Amino acid sequence: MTYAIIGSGNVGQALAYRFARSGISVSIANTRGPDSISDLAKKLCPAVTAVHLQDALNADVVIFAVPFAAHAVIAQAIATWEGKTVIDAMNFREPSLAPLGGLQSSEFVAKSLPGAKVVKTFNQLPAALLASDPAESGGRRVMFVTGNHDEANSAVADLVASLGFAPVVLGKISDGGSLLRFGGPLVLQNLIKLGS
Amino acid sequence: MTYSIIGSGNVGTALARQFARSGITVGIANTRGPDSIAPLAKELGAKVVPQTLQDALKADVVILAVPFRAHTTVASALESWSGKVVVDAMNTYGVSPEELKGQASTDVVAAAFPGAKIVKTLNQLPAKLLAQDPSVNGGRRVMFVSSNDANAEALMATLVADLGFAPIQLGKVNVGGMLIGMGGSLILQNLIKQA
Repeated sequence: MTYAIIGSGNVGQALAYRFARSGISVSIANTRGPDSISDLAKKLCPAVTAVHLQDALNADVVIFAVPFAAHAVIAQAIATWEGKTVIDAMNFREPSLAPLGGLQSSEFVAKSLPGAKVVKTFNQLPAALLASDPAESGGRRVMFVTGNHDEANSAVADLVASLGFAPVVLGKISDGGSLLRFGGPLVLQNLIKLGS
Repeated sequence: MTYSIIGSGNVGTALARQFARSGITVGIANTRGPDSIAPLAKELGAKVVPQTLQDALKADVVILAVPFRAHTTVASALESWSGKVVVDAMNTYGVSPEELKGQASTDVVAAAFPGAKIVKTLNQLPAKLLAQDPSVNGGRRVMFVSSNDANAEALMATLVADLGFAPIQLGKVNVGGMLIGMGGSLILQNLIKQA
């Protein structure tokens, strides 16, 4: 399984830190080219590699850590999304979903990525907390996962666990997605899961 | 606001313990009568008051901590539930989806208590964990709250907070209630909300 982070802002960098700390290889790209990320990659080598957007999109699992509106640009950068898992780590920062036709933001993203299995996670913590060690107070920080494809949810939950978090799968977007929307009750919650 | 717990099994006892610890007065009743709860009340002090079922049902907030099927017996013990908040702290162990007719269990309960505002909470932890001090490592144990009535949900979130937990309101029963129902992903999770 190969992973790529698209976006090198606060969230993209935070995720890169977690991959590096966990010793899991990941490539990272933005629309400005790998030179703009070389400092970060140097600091987090060898796990994190700065690459061109096109190369990053070859990964099996592509993590969108860009501002919400930018997902449409990324969506156009590859001929087919068939077979890929896309992690939606973005937030649609508007109180109303009307501009998305009433869809949850992950469903809206999925529409522009035909063939991809979209899973929402990594969107729900402030970047500084996302970057910090998820092992805390004898437990692990919770990371909620939701998506309309059960197998992709499980695979992403495994990744989330490998990065040190306690994944809690909320099921389909219609079940858990609305709870993870911007302003939703499970967003910005610093929860530590104790026990097994 | 007056509170009562119906049921003196593991969950009812755990809840009584939290009320006592938080210094909030609560009535407690079962179908066997107050004498059967006297030893517990003696242990927990003056805040926990053994009552007859009829007296307990006079409370503003009635917490159902009985086996799921027993809720109908409680429901028929009072003429009108209008204006009351009923907390569904039950779980549907051993109850088939067919028996629930595919509905969320809290919706089944709601149908038995016409006029009441039903809130699902206090159901989601094993009784032993429910009884423990919710203050852990500088944080507080999470208690999810779900209801189709936003006001009642907020009210019970406040009670849950007064009992020392960190309430998280999940909203309507068809989403949040399912997640804290049997087999849901937010049930039996020992989560500590950090300050």
